[in-house]
Amino acid sequence: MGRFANLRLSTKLFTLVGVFMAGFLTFAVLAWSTLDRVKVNGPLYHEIVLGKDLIADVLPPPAYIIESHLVAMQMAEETDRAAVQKLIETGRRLQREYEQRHAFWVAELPPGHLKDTMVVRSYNPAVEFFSIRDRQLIPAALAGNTEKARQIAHGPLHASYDEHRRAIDEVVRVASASHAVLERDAAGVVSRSSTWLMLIALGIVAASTWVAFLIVRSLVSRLQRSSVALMSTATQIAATSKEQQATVNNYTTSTTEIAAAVKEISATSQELQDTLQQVSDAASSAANLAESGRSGLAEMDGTMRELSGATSSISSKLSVIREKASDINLVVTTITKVADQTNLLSVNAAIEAEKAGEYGLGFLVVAREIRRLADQSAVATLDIEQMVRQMQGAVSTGVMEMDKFTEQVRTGVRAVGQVNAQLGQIIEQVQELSGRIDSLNEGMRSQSQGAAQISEAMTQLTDGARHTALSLKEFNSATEGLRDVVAGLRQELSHSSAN
Amino acid sequence: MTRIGAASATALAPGKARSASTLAIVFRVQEAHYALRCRNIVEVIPLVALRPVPQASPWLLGVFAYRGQLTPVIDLCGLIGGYACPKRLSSRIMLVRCTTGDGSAVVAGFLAEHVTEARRIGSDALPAGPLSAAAYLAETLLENGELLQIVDEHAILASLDNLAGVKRLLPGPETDEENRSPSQS
Repeated sequence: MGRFANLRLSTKLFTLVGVFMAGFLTFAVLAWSTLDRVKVNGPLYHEIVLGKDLIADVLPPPAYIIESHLVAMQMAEETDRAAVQKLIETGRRLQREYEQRHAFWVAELPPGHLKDTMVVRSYNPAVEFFSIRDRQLIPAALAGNTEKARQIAHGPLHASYDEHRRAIDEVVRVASASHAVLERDAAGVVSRSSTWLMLIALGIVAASTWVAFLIVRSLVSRLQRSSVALMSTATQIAATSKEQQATVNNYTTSTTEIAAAVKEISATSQELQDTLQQVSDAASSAANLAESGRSGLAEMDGTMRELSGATSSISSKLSVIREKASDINLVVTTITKVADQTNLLSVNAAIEAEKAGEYGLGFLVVAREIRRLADQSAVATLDIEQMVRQMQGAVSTGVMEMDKFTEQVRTGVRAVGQVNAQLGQIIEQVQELSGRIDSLNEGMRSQSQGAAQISEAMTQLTDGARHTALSLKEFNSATEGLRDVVAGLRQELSHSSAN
Repeated sequence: MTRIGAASATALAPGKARSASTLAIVFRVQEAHYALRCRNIVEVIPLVALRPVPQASPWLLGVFAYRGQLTPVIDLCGLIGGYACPKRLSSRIMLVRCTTGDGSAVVAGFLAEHVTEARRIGSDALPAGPLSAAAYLAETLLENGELLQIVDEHAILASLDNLAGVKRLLPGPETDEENRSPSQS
């Protein structure tokens, strides 16, 4: 078997054709010898014909009434009634057999001279013979009239028999002649058929050899082309499968990373859920705080409004004080003016006293006193002025501070109002937020579950990728095998095409 | 003020003992103390409304009618210190009778700050002489531990001779200087 595998393809094909032809030739020889053995005039035919001839020679022919004639002759000679009766029965049996054979031949024989001779010319005398026997001989024999029976037997009965025998002789002659003709024809047919058989066998051998050669040639060229294409395809497949293997490996690592990431996401979403719960709690407590803050602010608002009123009244009182201070200032100015005039008067008085010389000395003292008075009043004025100025400054500062304070209080009131409104909004939003956080919490839970499912799917996917990688490895080795096979095929084909 | 009053009282007491001491009006320019002897002072008046003199020096504040005569007013703050005298109650005009360079007697007003005190001062000057190169700052005295410069009104008016505006304003020359003072008082 190994030696056969190493053979070239054309050799294999020719071997196949040779085996087929050898079988065919064997078959032909067997057929020819069988034909030779069983042909007409052949040994088997001779044996069969000999057997038939033997039977025909030994047995009395049922279609020939010779035995009936013999029985009739015996009947004519016989005197014993019992024996006559027995012979009558035998004659009747023979007649039935004859009728059977006649019906057979009427059915089987082909129409022609032979059938006419056999069915009509030999039958009519036989029918006459049986009629004469039944109507004349048998009553005579039964009556014991031996003489009459003998006359009948040798007379009309014998005449009918003769006529029948002549017809039978004719039949034998005609049948023998046709037999010889048939045998000759059969021999000719057999010899012709044998010749044709030999010729057809030779032709088939030649044609099948030629066709096998053609097939081998076309097959080899086509296979060569196909093998080249197949080789390149196999190379491509190998490269592609290697790439795919790399891709699958990458994919495996990627899926592993993704699985890890999804696990992290799951954990994170769990934490987030907890955090959200905390946020929700904090939001509700914030809402409560905001509510209490709001009520506190309402109280504060009232207080602020009272404070604003009080500030306004203080401010108006401060204005009154300022007016009074202005009045005081007016008085002080008048006093200052008086002091100034007094001072001027004292200076001029001193000058005049100086001019008066010794007489003016007393007046000089008066002038000095006046000046001292003026100085004192001026000092007092200055003190009052300073005090009034300080008071005015204090009042102005107080008024300004009060104004500022009032403004601040107003701002505070406004701010309180705004804070109140904002607190209201905060409470509203926190209440909204609570609902949202609930829905978010729900979403987080479903996300966590989804992440778990994804993780599971990822694990399955990773397994699948691993399997795929293994399959690709196998596929790769298979492709390598395919390449080897194709290379072998190419080598072989190149050998055969070189031939 | 009390201190000033006491000082003037102490200054007045030796004034009676020493005939050499004279009365002077003390004023201030740039926180420094100056004095004008009462010898020629006619009167001290408060700051009055002045008519400005066109194209005159900035320290010639203007003129006003004093007892029927046009009297120029010179700002001592502007002349000595180079700044306009602030308008306060204590900023007063000292009316001085003096003779100009060509010998004519006129009444001129001198505006200064803190003209509130007539003080008796000694006549002996410090040997160091005047503290300034200006001719009208005649002598420097030490009064109660503070320096007091005596302003010479004649020198001021003499230095103003070249001022056409002032000259034109000045009245014609009078015969006697002494006759003028009693008629005013």
